[in-house]
Amino acid sequence: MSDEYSLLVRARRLESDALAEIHDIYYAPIFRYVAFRVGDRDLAEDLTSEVFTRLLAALRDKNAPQTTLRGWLYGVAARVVSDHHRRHYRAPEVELDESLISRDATPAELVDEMLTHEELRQAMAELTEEQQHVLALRFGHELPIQEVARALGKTEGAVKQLQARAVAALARKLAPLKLVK
Amino acid sequence: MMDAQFEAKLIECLSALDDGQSIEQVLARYPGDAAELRPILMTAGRLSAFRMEPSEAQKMKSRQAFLAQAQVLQARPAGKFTAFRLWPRLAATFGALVLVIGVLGGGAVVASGSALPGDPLYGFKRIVEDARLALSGNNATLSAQFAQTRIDEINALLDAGREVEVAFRGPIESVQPNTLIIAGLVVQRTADTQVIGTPQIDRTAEVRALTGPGGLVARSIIIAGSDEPSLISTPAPTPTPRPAMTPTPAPTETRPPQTPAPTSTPAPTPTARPVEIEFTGTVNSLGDQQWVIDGAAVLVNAQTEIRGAINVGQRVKVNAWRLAGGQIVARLIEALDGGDDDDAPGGNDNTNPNDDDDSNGNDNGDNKNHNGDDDDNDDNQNGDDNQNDNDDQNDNDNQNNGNSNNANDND
Repeated sequence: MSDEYSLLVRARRLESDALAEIHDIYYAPIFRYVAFRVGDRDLAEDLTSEVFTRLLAALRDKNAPQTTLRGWLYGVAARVVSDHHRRHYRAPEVELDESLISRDATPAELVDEMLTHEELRQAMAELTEEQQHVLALRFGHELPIQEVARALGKTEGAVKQLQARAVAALARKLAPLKLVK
Repeated sequence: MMDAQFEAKLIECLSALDDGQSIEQVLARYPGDAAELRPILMTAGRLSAFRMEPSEAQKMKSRQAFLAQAQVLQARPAGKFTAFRLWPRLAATFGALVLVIGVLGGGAVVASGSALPGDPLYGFKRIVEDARLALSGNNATLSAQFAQTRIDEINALLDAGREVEVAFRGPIESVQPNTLIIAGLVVQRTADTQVIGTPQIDRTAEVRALTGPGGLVARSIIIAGSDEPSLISTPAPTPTPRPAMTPTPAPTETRPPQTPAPTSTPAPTPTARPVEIEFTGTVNSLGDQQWVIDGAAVLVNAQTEIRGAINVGQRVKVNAWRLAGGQIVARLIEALDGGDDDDAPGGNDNTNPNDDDDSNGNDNGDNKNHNGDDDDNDDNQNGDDNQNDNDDQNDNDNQNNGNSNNANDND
């Protein structure tokens, strides 16, 4: 029995220490994933908490993952993000996370960075759901190719191709804006 | 679109970047394509810069809230209140609720009030409701009020044309071939709608449905026994406990009679009758008296009919009684051969945590978990929108009807 399995067994009984352990292991990865997708720290914090709330509800409703906690959580995270996007498609977030801006940047660089950030997010939103998912796992959470392949149930070659196409599509969308120097 | 050759070069360049080479180093490999590759590699470089690290403070806050929510859930096992255990439970619930409010701020509680299924705060709203209900000793007025809230939420979703899975419960007011009116809502029944029991006016139905611009389309309708208390749940009057492991499933004749309910009796209701349920799932474990199927404990006894050779990992169809206490007693467990859409052979309950990361549910082939459960994972994910919806007021009633929703959902 792997650790994750016994962890899940205890989590299903809502044992606090098991739940705490799950939260400690997965908070950061899920946060990075969500933050990359939504680009806003406060929102990412809310949505990450929502992922864990859904885990509790699933545990209570006996809908919980059997042995696939990590994959399950990423799946829920993707869903929480797309639920959020669906609700807010008319009102894109324009909040900017200040931590993204280097502190010693000149005002011109600052403007450039802000612009890039917002434009990049908008360009990213035009990619397919799968492409966004891959980019978030690869660049948001820096999951190695083979881990992404497992998470998506694809071969490593397929993930590399998906990633290449996603980045190329993104670059194409940004090119007319001359934001990529 | 990229041609295949260019794509292959790009893939190689991205791998090289991954290995820590600089953009210039990588571009030197393909001078002829450098102009085209450069903006793409720059974009990749910029993406990495978008990483955000969680703040430790926020992580601790989330952890506290998460554990407090868990405590609320734990302090509130539906329908198990007895005179002796009530107060400690209420105290625990109250403590946990105070903690949740303390951690998230009272604002979250207020803000969650208008949350609809699918909204971030919705799960929290339901937990607050559960806690309020527990604190009130399962107050009937409050319970009815929350039941009405479910209906209002659905109306709001329908007005907005949003597609969300919802669950609610209420009296059947009209029965037509393709539509029913339940708790004032027009519910469409399609060929895919699973109906358990016979819909009749005045009987109570549990409905899982999808809202959308076209109205409310039922996924499942479960008719409760006609003598069940409707929305009002009352603490069980310390009933004679059923023997947990050797329940005698009631024979068919004792199913809830089809005759209309007697005029509703206030206060403690008789122990509810067993409800017949059917579901499919994957066998997680086998025991002499109890099997685990899709995470749910299923009791087996001498009367249980087992069809086919069944091992761990096998997909099975189960016909069972769900007793008032929530236990599931199998009448028939049947091996399904078509249910295995995974390449892996059955019975291999591999719990390697790395082997499983199927966030899309499509990892046929490399998954050696107990097979067939790709489906289950999918279900879980697809149902996520409404895990919180599952537990409408039923959770607070003694019969734990919520279980059958889940069970049927696996079909």
